[in-house]
Amino acid sequence: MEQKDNTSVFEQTEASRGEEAHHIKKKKHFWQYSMSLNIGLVIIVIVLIFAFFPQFIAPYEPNTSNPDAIMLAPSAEHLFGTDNYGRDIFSRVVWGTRIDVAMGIFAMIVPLIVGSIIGLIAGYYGGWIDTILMRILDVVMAFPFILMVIVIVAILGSGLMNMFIAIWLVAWRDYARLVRSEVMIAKHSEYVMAAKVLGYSEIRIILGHILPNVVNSAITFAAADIVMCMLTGASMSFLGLGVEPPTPEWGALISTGRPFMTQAWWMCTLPGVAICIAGVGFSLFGDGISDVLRAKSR
Amino acid sequence: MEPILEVKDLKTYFITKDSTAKAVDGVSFSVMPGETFGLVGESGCGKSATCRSILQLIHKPGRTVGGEVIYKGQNILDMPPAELRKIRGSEIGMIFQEPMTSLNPVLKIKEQIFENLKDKNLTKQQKHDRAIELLKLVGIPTPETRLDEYIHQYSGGMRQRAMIAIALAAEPKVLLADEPTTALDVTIQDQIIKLLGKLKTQLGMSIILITHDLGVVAQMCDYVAVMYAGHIVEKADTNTLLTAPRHPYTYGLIRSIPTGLEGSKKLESIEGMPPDLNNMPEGCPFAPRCKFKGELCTKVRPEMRKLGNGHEVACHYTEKLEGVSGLQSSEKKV
Amino acid sequence: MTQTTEKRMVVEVRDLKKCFPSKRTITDAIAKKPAQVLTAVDGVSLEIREGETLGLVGESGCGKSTLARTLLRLYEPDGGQIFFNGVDVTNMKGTELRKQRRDFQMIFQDPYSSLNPRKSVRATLEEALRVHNIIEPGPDQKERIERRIYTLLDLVGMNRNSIDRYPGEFSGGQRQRIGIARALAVNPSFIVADEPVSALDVSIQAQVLNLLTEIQAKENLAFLFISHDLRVVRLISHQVAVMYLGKVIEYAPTEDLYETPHHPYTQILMKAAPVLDATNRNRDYAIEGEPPSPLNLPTGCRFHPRCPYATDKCREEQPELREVAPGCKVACHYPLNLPEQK
Repeated sequence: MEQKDNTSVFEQTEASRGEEAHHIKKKKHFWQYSMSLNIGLVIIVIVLIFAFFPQFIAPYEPNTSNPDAIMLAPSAEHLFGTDNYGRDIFSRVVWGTRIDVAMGIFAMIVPLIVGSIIGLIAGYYGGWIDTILMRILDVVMAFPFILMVIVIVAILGSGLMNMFIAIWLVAWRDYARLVRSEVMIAKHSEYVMAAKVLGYSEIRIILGHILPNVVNSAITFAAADIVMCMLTGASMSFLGLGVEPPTPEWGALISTGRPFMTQAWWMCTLPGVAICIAGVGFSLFGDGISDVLRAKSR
Repeated sequence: MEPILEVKDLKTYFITKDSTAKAVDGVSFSVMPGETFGLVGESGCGKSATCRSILQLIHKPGRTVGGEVIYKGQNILDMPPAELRKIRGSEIGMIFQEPMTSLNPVLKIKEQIFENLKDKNLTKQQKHDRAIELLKLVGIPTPETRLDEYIHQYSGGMRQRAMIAIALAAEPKVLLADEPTTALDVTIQDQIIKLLGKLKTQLGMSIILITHDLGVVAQMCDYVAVMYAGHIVEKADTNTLLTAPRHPYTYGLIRSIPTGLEGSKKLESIEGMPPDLNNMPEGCPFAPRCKFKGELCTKVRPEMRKLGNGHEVACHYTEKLEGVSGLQSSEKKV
Repeated sequence: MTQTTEKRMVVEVRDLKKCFPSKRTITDAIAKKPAQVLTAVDGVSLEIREGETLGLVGESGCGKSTLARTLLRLYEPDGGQIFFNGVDVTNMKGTELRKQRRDFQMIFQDPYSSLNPRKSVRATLEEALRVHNIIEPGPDQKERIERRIYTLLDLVGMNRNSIDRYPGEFSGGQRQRIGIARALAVNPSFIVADEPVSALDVSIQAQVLNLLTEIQAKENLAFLFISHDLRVVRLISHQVAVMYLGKVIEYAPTEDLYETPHHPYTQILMKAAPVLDATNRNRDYAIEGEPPSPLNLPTGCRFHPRCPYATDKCREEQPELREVAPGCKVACHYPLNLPEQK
């Protein structure tokens, strides 16, 4: 009897051996998943080189004015022309990259973490915790994003740090909502029930079993959110609520160029193009990331 | 008698950049008027893809790449879209496994029946009467009030009945039924099986039943085809198929169903799994799991062989199964 | 089946109840409408001994899954008592309950959602082994854990080289095997299998059923096997309980129940299952209508509105579960197939 059982188990192992080969997926390199990821990555790498090594790329000092070269049109000497103080705009754009990229990333990262934690707690525990957190969220949701940021900066006073705080206070809402809804689905799945049956602690279930399954959508959103945060930072600086002049920052550059629109179009247009390219780069990257994550999760 | 629907060498492939899944690979069968034809197989064997190909309801990347579907002497696959639309619903109707997803949740049941009525020139009153008649036909109590309800207000079995009523509004000659009882409880499944049987005789239509459940086949079908990995491996009338199967897969399938009389014995199971449709083995698709396989099986794909009495089988060594009974004789008692 | 008394009792459930209050809207609360209560499990008692399988049959909504989950303490019971190996776990909480849990495990219905898609087979099994310290800590713990995982994979008939694969790479049947391995990892004495084969194809279903029987014989496990498929239950169970609207209406050794069903509902269920014989077709419905809503239970016997034999007594008085033949209990005023009727 005992022996019989053993052989049949062995047979099954044998039988499944041949079949498993069909189920191995062909391993793909990450660049084979998505074209937009590749283009996005190329742009981001260039932007990051600008951000990390402006001193090697910028031909001039960004803040040194030159009375002999005021408002020159773009030329080989001054790629993007010069401004009303004779500063080289290309150099200012290059130096500005660092601030704008940093704004995008720092402004995104804190809400990503805080918002995800809030979403996890609200979604997993439900009940009155969920109700309280979601009512706070509703209040934050009720106002347009940029308006909330402006109001908070107006209260705290302008400046880079205050602007970050303002964005952090508002941006968590999207992550919290996104993660919460995914947690609500995941917590009823059978693998979470299996974890409970196995007697795992709640911390283990939340961090080890639910989080890895809900974090994808938050990451995808974060990749696109970098653009949003960058644009918010630039807008705030444009309005004079973010980075103080003369620090080179794209939004501030556009702002200083605005009065000279008719005489010197390059002063606001070309920094605008820089924002545009960086924005498209990060958007494509975000898009690509979601493609890859989707393909991986299959 | 002429068949009402004939499928000849149908091929539907799912073609992507990396691979071609041959979901339906040379399927042929014919359905007689007034007959219930069963298409049986396990998930992924291509039975649903066959059914959908008949009405050209295959989504990309699926594509019917070959074969013919002859309905009343015309090849449906060659028809321009406008004519195909006339066939769909009105000549060949379809019911699904899940009424909740296949019926429109924001339209009242009566609106969905009206929309589907064969005679488009009826007055409002006539339409209403016809709708009540249909609901009565499928056994929905108090049809007058239920007409104005939405699908979510119906209970499980009633939803299935409403879906059948809507399909019947067009008075189809052929009804494609894709796993119509799979999601139901046994007692409700029993009611739907018997309802479909009754309607078939009453309305004189043919039914093509797609199912994985041989019990449902035994209770409903006149003629059965068994599908495996995109191919039909055996065709016979229901009784012959169940009592004297001649394909090892059919035999294994029947033997895998517990009859409850095995006692402490083990169930006979088919070891292994169906092949990957992207990567079909050479020769007979069932060979890797077959207990009876011989030398030819891994090399040559078997053709359909006629055994007489409409019994056809695609197996090189079908004589090995001669005299082997599919059913365990005492099964009838359960 | 009479020698069962020698075997150790693993699970004992007495008069278990589980209710779900339906959500009240604010307007209902203002209008002081009482909250509706859905009694999903209403006073169920069960006993399962080691090496035995209790089959639990019923239609959807009869409360069989709720019963299983309440008995595993995934839902808080609203009444009754649950004993595992003589220990009362009804009111156990926190760490104590979590430690106790290794004794009773579950196999799930849907092989596609019951495994964490982000964990490899190794990670899934290793986590279970580590959390419950199944493998004692020591210098070669890692190797011993791996050896244990290989043993588990052998036991459920999985290839050893699937250890580092993810659930997405397996078919339904193989996933179900991994789910079984996960349940076995912590050496339980009792396993609830909630429709473990109903999502699988027939040929795969037979493999998994054989595997379950084999494992039960080897490990001397107690099983609660939930299914809507009467044939499968007959194959695998020693005892069968039939549920209807939250109550057990018949409870008997398998062969007695199938040969001589005493409750009209049991008889109807058997009649409704499609017979695998084309020459034996029955044109009549086994039963008309559908079960009533559990929110709105009929008075008296819950089955009386659909019962072909119902009398006034059935409409008024709820029948108790009582023994009508040795080991056979039925909740019906007029049981069928009684010995003296034959």
